[in-house]
Amino acid sequence: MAERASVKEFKLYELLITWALLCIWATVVFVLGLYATADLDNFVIFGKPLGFWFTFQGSIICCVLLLFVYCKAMDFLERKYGVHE
Amino acid sequence: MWIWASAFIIGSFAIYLLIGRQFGAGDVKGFYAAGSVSSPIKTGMAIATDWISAATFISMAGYISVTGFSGSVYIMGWTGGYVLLALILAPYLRKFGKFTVPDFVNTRYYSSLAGVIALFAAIIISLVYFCGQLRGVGIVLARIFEIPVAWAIVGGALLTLFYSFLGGINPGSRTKAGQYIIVIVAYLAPAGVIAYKLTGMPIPQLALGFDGSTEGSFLKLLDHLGGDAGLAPFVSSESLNYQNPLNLLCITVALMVGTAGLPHIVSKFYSIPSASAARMSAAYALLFIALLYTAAPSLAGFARYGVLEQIQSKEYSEAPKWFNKWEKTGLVNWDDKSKPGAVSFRYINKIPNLESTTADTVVIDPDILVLATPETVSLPPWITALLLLGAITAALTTSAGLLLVIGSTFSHDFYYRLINKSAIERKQAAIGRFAMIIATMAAAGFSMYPPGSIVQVVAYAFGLAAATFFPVLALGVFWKRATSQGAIAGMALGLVFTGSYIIQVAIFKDEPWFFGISPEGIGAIGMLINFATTILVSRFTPPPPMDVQDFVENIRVPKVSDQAFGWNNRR
Repeated sequence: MAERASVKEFKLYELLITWALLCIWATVVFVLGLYATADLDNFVIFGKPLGFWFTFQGSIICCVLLLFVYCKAMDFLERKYGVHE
Repeated sequence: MWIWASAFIIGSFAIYLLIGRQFGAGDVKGFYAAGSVSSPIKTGMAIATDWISAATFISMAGYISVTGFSGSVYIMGWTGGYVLLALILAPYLRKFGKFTVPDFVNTRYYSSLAGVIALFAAIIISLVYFCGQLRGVGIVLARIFEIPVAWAIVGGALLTLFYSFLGGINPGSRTKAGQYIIVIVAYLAPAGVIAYKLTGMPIPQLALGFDGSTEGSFLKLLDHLGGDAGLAPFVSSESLNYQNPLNLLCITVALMVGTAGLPHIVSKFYSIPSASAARMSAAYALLFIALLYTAAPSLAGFARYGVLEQIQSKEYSEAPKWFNKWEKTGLVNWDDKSKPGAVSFRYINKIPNLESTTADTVVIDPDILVLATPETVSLPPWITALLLLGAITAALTTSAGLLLVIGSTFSHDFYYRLINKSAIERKQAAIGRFAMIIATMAAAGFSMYPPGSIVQVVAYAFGLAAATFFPVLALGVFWKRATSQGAIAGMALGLVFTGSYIIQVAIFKDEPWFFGISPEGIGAIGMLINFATTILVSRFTPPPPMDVQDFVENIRVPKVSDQAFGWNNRR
């Protein structure tokens, strides 16, 4: 019975990580990447308006980082609950 | 130039084929099984190779060059989608022990009717995608041999068939990794040289912020140049005045969700040995893809600069050499040679309040812009040849892969499983080749008169994938209550709605009647319809069998002590 409970806990945390990262992703792409660009353009980064940079390059960099964070977090979680392969 | 290009292309394809032969010719299982034995880095490269197609390599930067800021939806859509794929599908799919999306649908939804709809959709999606690739092969060949693009497409179709039949399709992840390196070098090296020449900054990813002229940053110069030609600015704060934001959102969503529903990409994750490796592979794939995508905006800028500088307001008699070469392909045209150049771009509407008063005299296909850029800044021919090599590698490898999916789906999943159970393997192979030839002929005909640039055509394939597969895959993993009736209704409705809208608006040129959403973005709406239908119908139909429910219950746990591959009944 204890095993089942820990699997349940694992699935809960897995869902939590997935949803948290999806929320960050949606904010990065849809809010910062599309809708706030005009406001972000008031700042300058690498010689470009920030909004422009974020849409064309920054959002991609965020997505890459996000995926590596996801890998690390899930590997840790799988090991902690002993369900890794 | 054609000597350089031919030498590069023949040389590298001889190597691909040789390695392909050595390590086993392509069979279906091999094509799908991108990463059964290799490391996540290699698998990531293999996925990136299949991802970087003609749309990304040839067409995307050119399209952005013309559309300015709103072209960014392609950059965000085709990279951000990997997050969805990695978080929602990649780690879980392999537990089903299947190789194709139709197989998955058939098993998870315990219904061969669901499988047949999925199979039909997979063929349509691959075929539309293939049309874009064939157009890309045609454009490259047309430029190399300076012939009309229609003839080049015929040649490209034969070349694609030849390459596919020779068995060089799936040389395994080793060659795929090699092809990735060739493609990425063929993109970044020319972009770097152009960047250095125009801005003094050799790293293409950083170049746009550097000084282009006395007018300040290169970006400002571009917006100034573009404004004169009626093109939208790159900088968002000015560009958003001319765009329908809902449409931009829909295109981004359709491309992202399509990424996570595209049969030939999703199926790469079925055969990865562990959940951890699947996540890592997706992360590396995005990293490798990002190297190219972050350089694309700069290349887009250089293309706009080079072309407008040399054509706009110039007389026909002083037209540059590269223009005359592309004229032979029929992809650029100077309508009224007595008047000075006023550039317009095929498939793309000008922005009314920016448009200059003079009538347009020059029509340019946006798909040539990337390939023409090195010549617009007078770089040596081998740089163009390198770009052409990368372009044809990207287009041809993707085409061959798609063709294989079409052939095998038709011969094995459709003919063998549903029509003639007793067909021997030779007959199946013959049927498969027949399907490949028919598909190539159809695609060749279509891509001679495409309804849009390559990115747009490929975006239709993504929209269809988003509207058909993604909801059913995602619910299949996360919701054990999703029933076969729900999936059938959802897929059918999503496919029919999205498909008919695309045909109506893109091909028959009707007004985009659904809130002004263009056919590239309608897949996002199709996806919502599919989700709603699947959920609603599932609620009102009897729940799936117990063994399916038990399986889905445990699909998100990598290792469960009493559960093996397949469908164990655990009661």
